Amino acid sequence: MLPYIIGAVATLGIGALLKSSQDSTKAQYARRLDSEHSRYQQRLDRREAKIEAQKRSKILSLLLMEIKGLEKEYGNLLSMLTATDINSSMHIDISYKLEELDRLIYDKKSRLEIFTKQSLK
Amino acid sequence: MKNIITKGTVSNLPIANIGSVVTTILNHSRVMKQIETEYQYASQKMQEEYAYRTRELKSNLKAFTILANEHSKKIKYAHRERMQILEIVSTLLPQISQCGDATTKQILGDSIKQLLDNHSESLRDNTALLPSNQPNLLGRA
Repeated sequence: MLPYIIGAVATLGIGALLKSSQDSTKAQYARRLDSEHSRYQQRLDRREAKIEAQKRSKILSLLLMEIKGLEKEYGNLLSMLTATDINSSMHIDISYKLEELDRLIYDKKSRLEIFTKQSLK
Repeated sequence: MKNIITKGTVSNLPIANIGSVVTTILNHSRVMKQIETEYQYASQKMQEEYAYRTRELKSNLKAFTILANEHSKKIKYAHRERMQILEIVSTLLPQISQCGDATTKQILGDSIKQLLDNHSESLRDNTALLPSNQPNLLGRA
């Protein structure tokens, strides 16, 4: 009878040991997967942030270029209005055009400001 | 002579238990292998997903750059066009006051108005740069 009891206890003991070893291996792999996941995620986040910054910088430069061009046009028109002796109808037309350009420049500058603020967040 | 020591027999040996231990060990080895396979599969999946997302980001940036460059060309072209219009207007404007003939004045005035309309049209034709995450960023309100 005793050998059977010893055998049964030994079997149970070995079973428990092996189960514990399996659990610990599982936990180890799970930790490894977690760490790999966080490493990949960090890399992706960094890459995404870099690309986002590149895009923002490009958009900012385009907006600046557009504003610069519009301001040049505004200055050109304004000098026409002040330098040339023109009739009232033409004066109104050009003034209207100046207002239009002014509104557009204001709009672009507002966008630039909002965008810059967003970029700095 | 009486036997003092009990003779061991086959039935006394814990064969059933030995069999059970062997089965447990074999089973353990299978389970361990399965755990490792599952880990490798999950790890590979993650790596593939990462590679896919990286490729996606790259192609997204490439598409954006192409779009941005096109937009830049468009802005430059439209600006040049409008500057040319303004140059013509600035040439025509002094001639209106110098011109004595009313019809010519009228024609010159109409031409300038037409040029100014063209200028406005060029200003309105200002399409947005459309990266997927920043819609209408450069568009007009």
